[in-house]
Amino acid sequence: MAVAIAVRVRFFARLRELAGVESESMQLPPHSSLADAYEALRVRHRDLPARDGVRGALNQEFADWTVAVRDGDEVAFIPPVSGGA
Amino acid sequence: MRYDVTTEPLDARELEAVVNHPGAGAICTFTGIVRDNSEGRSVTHLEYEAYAEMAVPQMKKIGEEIRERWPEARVAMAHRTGHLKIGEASVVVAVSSAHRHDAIEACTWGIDRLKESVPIWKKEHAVDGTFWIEGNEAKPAST
Repeated sequence: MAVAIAVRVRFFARLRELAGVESESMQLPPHSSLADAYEALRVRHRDLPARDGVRGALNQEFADWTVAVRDGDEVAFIPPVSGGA
Repeated sequence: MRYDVTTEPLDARELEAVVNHPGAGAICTFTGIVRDNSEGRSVTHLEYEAYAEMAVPQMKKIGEEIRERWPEARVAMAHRTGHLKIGEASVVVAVSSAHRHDAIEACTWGIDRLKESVPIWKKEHAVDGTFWIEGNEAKPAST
């Protein structure tokens, strides 16, 4: 049984600037959720805001914060979007 | 159908050509343009950033949503990223259908959904500062 899983993390827009990185890899205990990943990242990157308004994505799809992440997943944290004109 | 995120200038006529076909009686095209003002701020230029690997699939989903509601519709969408000047096109949505009402309604649906659900952000460079736009809010950028 694995003692940790590794995921790739990506940040965009204002969160990318606040985190100071575009992407990184992180290790998490097995059965961690998307919310667990974000909270662990907030410890590492103190300027990241609370989750309100931020959406999580798992492998390029929006996902609930409660969804479990798995080894090799790509997780991303998405501030409110503003495409268009 | 065509869905693109690109740093190249957008050509609305090219997207219209993608959706045009002999059974189409109408094409409705929305083009979003970079404006020189926003909420009272004087804007000098915009920078758009995308999570491209997710943005393109999200656009495809919107195309599928349109086809569920308007089965005859053909859809093309493109969003530009990078540095955009005032007056340049940031987004184009083109929808063809047999009749004008369907084309217009489906195009409106498409751009509205794009603005809600496609992971693209604008960074506004204004005379009095630089802001990330998050939904309807402008938040100071750190660079």
